[in-house]
Amino acid sequence: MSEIKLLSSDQATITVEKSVAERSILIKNMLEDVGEVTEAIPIPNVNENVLKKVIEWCEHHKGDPPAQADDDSDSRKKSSDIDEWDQKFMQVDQEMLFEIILAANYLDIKPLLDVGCKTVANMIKGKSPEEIRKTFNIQNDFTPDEEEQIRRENEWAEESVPRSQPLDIDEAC
Amino acid sequence: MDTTRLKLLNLPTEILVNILKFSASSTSPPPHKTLLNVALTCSALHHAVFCTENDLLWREPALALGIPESLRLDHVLYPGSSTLQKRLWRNVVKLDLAWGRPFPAKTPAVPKQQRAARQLPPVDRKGDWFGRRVVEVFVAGEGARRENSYVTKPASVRDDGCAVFQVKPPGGPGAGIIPGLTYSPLGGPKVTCVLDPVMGKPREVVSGNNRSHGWVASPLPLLAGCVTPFPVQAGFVFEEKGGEYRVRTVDASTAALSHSWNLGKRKPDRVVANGEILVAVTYAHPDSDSKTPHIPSNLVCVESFGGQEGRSRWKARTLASSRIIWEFDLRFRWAQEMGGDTNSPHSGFTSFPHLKNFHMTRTHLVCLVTQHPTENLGKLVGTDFYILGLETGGTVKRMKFSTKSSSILSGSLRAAFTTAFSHEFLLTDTYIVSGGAGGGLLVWNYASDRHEPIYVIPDPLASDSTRSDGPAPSLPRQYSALTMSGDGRYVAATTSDQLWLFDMVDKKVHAVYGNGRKIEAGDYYARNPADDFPAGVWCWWKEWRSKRSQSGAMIWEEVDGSGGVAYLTGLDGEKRKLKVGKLLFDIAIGPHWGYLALAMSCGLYSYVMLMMLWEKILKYFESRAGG
Repeated sequence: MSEIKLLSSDQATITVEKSVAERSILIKNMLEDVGEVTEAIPIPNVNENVLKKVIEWCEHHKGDPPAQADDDSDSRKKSSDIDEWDQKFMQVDQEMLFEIILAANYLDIKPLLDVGCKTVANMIKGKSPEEIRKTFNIQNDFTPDEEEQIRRENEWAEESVPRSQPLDIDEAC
Repeated sequence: MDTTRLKLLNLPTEILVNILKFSASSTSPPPHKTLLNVALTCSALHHAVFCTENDLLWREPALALGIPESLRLDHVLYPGSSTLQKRLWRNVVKLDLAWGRPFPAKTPAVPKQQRAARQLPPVDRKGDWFGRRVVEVFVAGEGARRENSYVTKPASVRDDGCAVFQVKPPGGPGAGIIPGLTYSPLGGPKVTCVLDPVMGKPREVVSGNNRSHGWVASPLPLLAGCVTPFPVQAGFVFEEKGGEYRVRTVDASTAALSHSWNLGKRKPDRVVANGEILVAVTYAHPDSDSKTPHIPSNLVCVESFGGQEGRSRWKARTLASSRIIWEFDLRFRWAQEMGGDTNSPHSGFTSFPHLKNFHMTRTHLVCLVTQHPTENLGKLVGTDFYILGLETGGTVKRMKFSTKSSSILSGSLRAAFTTAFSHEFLLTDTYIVSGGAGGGLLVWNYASDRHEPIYVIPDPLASDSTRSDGPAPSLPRQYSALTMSGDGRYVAATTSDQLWLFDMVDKKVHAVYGNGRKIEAGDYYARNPADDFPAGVWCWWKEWRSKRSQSGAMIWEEVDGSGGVAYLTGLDGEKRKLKVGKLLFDIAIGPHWGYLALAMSCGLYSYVMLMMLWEKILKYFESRAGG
């Protein structure tokens, strides 16, 4: 069973099974390109703590079938589809959560990226704008006039018949 | 330092969009509400939600509202945006939500009736004009039966702002009260035309050319016992060669024929098409052992691939290929399905299903079906909408017209009478608008679990203050035609003299137009009074101009106060032979032919008298010479 070494951004070396590391498409492609490596592979965007968490996830999911590159099926989009182990795994502070998401994106580990995004999505769902601001510590940078205008523009989503409004919006940004 | 805030809002855009996509994936709360709550949080997230580049975020809310998952944005029938505007999932969601809301319970306010123009005004090209004029609503108005009549294809954003229609000469199919029920050999061929609202005059679609290889236009449908006029066949050309049939569609942008579907020996009765897929109800294949070959009951779904006729003779032969996707005889399949409904009090009398009308989306075929004890269609015992999956032709849902639906329009003396068959029903990817009891218009959501109409478009004709003459209406007026604007926002309904536009977003009567037809009190309820008022076409057009958006992209913007409604008559195409003699006569003599006839008579009389006088003089001199 071959092992490889990974070098985190804070210069920590972590030894990991090759099959586990190959959950990362980035590392897998790199190993395919360069062949056998004895030196530690630098992972400059990920620190030791985050890298250990990512490896922990990869070890738990090393037997999973590889994700399809164009997998855009309905099951992928359901944010409630997070298995129990993953839910517990993602019970970390927000900073670590976002770090894991960024690391999964950098290392190209799509299933981990999806679990991270679903976890954040679940923190958004069912919350009012104020609650979302509170959860993610976001500053409301709208002026009262802007806020009122946005609410008026979005009256179409209300249950009752809204005031007269244009239907088609070509450009909002 | 506020690291948490930085982490969320500083995530790469594709990750942020991915998170928002997941957040909009649940049914509760509704996905569109989740996205709107996110947008109200701060300007950065508002931008992320409403930025056109991230429009795919709104696909999930669209799916939650019933848009089929396999439907691509460019296949949505009514996208909520005009021909010239970019299609957005956001507008699809907005339109679909609006359609789901019922009209207010109170009687709708009727705006002051406006007079429709008699022709399209010339385009104002002054200044830095760089605009477009597009047709938004296009629907035929019935009129005098001794003149040409029209069959219109509903306005579509796919028709590049143009409109497609057929001119039917008097005496041909359509000379009767209900178009298509009668056919007289006196009637000439139907002519298909395309109206470009900028040019103002229609162009005739040439149905045969040197690449037709023996295919000749077929005057279908011919007389048959159960031929019905819906769906209207404007925009289709039927062709025949050696006992085989094919159907072609009209490309509005080029005024030429495009897709082609070969039906083999199945003689078509009526067809609908969407993109490359065509569904036809045909007579039985001659090789089959059908016991009722005179009844069109064979439902066939055909795909055309490489349908564009090639430029060369060789391509024309090989490209127009078709593939049968499914086919069945509805008399057998649907009769079995009806018979299985043992809860129906009419279960013993529903052995003959008759396909009254049908329309299709990219995913479904919706059929209006009546049930009868026999093929004579004598007794109507039930009316259903059959929703068929287009991939297999299997019935995925049935929605019944309730016999108690008269209660929807209480107070109507004719409440038990259904007008579901007297005009088209309208179909979107999730909704149906149909006739209902007592002349009302019902809205159904076939994508939901509901099996009954979700609301009624209120009948403004009862409260129409524009009509003060005659007695107070005690019977509901009947709409004669029903159509929808290309963007899907307005439902248009016509009576014999008016065009009503219902705003399905603001839930009100948007406008009412009159064509100047004088309706006697006794004809108030007639769909088409027997007078000499010409048949025509109601055309609602809009003007657009291009401008730069804030992001620098060129977009189209509707010109405020522009556009209008015209009732166009005399639309018989430009392809006519110029008769020089008649033209000169008209110019030189014109209306003065009476004077010419008098002058010619006087001249002839003078000539005869002079000749007689001359003869007498000659005889006198001859007698003198002889004497």
